[in-house]
Amino acid sequence: MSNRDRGKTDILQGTLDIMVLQTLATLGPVHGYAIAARLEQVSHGAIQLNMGTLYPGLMRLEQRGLVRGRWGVTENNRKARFYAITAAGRRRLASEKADWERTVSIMHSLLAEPQ
Amino acid sequence: MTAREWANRLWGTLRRARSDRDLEDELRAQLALAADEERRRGNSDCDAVRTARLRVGGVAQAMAAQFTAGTGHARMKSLRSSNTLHKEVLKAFPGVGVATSRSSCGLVAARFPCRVYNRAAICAVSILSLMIAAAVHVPCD
Repeated sequence: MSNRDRGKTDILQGTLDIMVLQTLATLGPVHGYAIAARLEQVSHGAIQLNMGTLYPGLMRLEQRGLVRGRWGVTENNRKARFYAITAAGRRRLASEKADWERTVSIMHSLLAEPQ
Repeated sequence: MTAREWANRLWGTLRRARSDRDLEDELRAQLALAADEERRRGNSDCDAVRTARLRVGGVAQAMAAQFTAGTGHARMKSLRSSNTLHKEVLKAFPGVGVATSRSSCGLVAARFPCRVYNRAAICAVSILSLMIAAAVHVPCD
């Protein structure tokens, strides 16, 4: 991700996995470029993942059995590797979402305190 | 980390790593998709490739990032992933840390210079760690 540009956002450590898993759960099997494009779209351009950020994350998820990659062909007849979330990935996503929501709730309460 | 996740990680370590060529093919394919997108936006062929490379990064840089992260990259996957695996065993069962410290793991690895033996040796240490942990585990109240 290019994080030095104004308006761009750092990816909080540990959040890339949950973002990728959620994207795959929403879109179904897609290639890496589509994952990056989706994250850029939903963040209104704040998150721009380059391959050097996205792929180590994808490989890590694949090694952990949370996603599965298979070669296929895009609608434009380009060869690409399509990633799908596995059952283990869905379980992990549910658990990570719960943890994340709890963290957000705690931070919200904390930051809402009068100074 | 659950037993199932740990088993998945162990399987991921033991099975054959993706080849560098396969990963490189995937990164080139991603770059081509990004260039297609730039062409759709009206860029010339030359500009499309250049802009796509600026936007999604170069293949060499992405391969280097895999190397640094120790994921997927065949040349790095064995030892780094095994070290990660070993760290996770120690994290899950801190009681066996003394018996299977990284230094002892390193000693085992040093005796097996071949990558395959190296991986097998470190995995064997990790499995031994689990067996010891199972034997000495005392449930908390």
